[in-house]
Amino acid sequence: MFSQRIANAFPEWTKVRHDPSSEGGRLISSFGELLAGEYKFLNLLKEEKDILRKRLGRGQLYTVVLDEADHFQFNQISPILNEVIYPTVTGDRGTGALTLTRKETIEEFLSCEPTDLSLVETISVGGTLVWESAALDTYNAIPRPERLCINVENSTEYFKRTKTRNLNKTGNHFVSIEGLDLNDINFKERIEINDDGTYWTRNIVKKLLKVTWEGFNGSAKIFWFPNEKLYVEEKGKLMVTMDLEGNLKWRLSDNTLEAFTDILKAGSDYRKQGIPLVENIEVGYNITMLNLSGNPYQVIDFAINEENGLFYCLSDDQKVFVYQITEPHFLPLIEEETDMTYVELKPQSHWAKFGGSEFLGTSFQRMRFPISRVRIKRTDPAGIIRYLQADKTWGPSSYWFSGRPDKEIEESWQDIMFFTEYNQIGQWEYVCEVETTKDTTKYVTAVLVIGTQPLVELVVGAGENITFSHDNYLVLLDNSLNEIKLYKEFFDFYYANVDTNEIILLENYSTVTVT
Amino acid sequence: MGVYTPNILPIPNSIDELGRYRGLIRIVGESISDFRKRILLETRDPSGPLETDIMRTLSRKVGLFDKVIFELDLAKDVDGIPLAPDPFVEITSTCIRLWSDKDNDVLDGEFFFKDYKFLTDLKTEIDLLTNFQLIVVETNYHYLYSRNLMITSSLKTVDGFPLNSSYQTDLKVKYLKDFRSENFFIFGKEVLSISSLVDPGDYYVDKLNGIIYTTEVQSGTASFSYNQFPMRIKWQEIKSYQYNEKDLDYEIKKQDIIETGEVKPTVVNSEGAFIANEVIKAHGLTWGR
Repeated sequence: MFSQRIANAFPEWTKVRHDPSSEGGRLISSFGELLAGEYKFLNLLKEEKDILRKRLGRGQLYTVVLDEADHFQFNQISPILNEVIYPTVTGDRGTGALTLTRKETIEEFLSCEPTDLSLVETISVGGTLVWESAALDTYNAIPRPERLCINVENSTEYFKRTKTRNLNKTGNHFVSIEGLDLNDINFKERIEINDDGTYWTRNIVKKLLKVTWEGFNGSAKIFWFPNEKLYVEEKGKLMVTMDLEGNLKWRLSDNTLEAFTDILKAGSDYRKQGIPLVENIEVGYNITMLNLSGNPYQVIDFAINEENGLFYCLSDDQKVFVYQITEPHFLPLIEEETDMTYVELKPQSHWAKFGGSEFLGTSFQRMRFPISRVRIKRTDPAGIIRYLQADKTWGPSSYWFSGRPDKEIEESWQDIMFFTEYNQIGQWEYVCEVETTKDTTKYVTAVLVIGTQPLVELVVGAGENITFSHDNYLVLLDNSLNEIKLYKEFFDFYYANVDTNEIILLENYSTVTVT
Repeated sequence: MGVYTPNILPIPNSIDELGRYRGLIRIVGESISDFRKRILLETRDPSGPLETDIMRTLSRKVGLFDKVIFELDLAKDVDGIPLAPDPFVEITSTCIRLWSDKDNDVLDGEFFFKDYKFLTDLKTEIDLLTNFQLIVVETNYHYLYSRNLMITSSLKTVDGFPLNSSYQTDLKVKYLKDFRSENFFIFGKEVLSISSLVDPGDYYVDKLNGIIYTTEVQSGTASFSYNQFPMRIKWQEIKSYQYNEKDLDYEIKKQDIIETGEVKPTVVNSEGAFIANEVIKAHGLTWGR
């Protein structure tokens, strides 16, 4: 959504600012995507000097120097152009020979998706709650050192100290913990709590010894496994709308992943005694998660792998689907808009939820000539064209809404509102054709229903929640058996260094065969 | 068709730079996660040039980690007061000793590692002591060698602890052993109870709870020693100890009967000579000074 940051430089009345499906919006999105990548890279760079950062990176690769007989061969396509003939590479990591896929570039190679999971350890656990504010003196054991997840909920007030109010409060909002880190050394950490939500400790905690908290009247719960996570924040990414921007957060909503941010950043700005709580969430868009066959499935939990930025979604049939989520893009529109338009189409959102029903409305923006009639046309992702009918349903036959050309310009057209049920994934295009007493214009816009297919499907055991451990195992929580399972990811790819006749690998295979 | 065995190709990571600031180099084949753990350990518990530092931090230099195996706590009565009047525990290169009253030399147990080879055997004996409670922290302890327990004792000292500008200061420790302050106007005469605080310069030390009470407003700093219970007992992958440690004499020196009829260690035996030769082989220059 970095594109919106660029678009916000334009005046509010311009189409490029409020319509990402417009030509200007689509042009800007190519720069926006570059900027978003740079912004995330800069954020990751800032973290490089942090010993407690979540993203560790790789420490080693594995290399095979080819014998002369196995050196890369070339196929001459033209007198000046040769094509490399890449060998078939198989590796054995104790489970039989696996054919490795080649990655074209070193960047793709180092940030690739996993190809396999292997169960490393199963640990019996009594529960995931370590401490809660309702039972101040009870500290439960942590089965393996992990960062702790702190959920703060149900606050009606964040105590803001002023000259006249809350004089018995410090005005600080925090949770402070003391405990033993993964090396059994005492530490103290203070986590600032701006508002209700999910927070993580920087330290990797082996044992929690003491918790103090201050500044809000809600409940605080500390988990060693985030099975009650309120949302997942995607680090280094922003959500930008026409009016605000904030850290990009994700949560599950009706079987989609919903991108949102907070409108007001500090609880003390709106959580005040005597003032009704308002919805503080600005929803960006919803992504329907699809399986490899392109069909939606039941997502029961998800996690973001900090190492590669990929999304891991857990299905109810013991599978984990891995996705690369990028900023949604609109495709070029089928119809061409006229230079001048009088009536615009304003959708509820340019990103609709699959299966949802959302409204659109006309907006008589530029009153130049009296309007004679208006027709609304819709093309769905399958290419089926429908027209808005008199009863605000959609039908195959063309229908023109009558204007009142005999009246004054501003009275010649009464804006209308109508709904669409988004039952297909893809881009829905809307055209508003307007005939005035002088000319005919066409306004075109689109609504995107986002669905994404996974890079890979991995099989896991039974479980209801997933997360990543501090040492980058995929952790699956099985509430029914009270156990967690740790999985190691494998990346069965290779990179061919043609210059040095080497095969670079990500895994330590016992043998590698090059054919 | 070629069949190959891959070679490790270490690649630079920013964690390596953080490690170099701490004098640690990533070992080939070591995972980034383990290296980060070592760097964190060195940051929060730095090594140093002292003998005690070397004994404490040797494992991490080679990519290994010490483990907290047990926690040794004091058995208490119904009021929460320890049964042992003056407890003290020490672990040496050869044994673990537990006193319930150190000042009066009441030794509850002395267990030599050569007699209790594995921790499971040691635990069985310590569990029989009524003044102490052994809590298991690391569940896979049973067949670890007892001799790898880290040399330590329960006695800790603190210097320069700032005193509150108040009539009492909580030293935030329990089981105080000694307390000293150079401010003789405030800490002139130690009394035996709070109710005995009458004259200026009187002070009372609550040794059980680690709180100092005075008749005058406190200031400055104080030094004290205390027994840290529960005591964390660590097991080391690599254990180091002083070659000259007295406890080792029975292992590395000949036990001869001297003129008085006592049995005393005299010259090194074959075990002691072997160790000495290995040390000379590795670093002969400092031997014999």
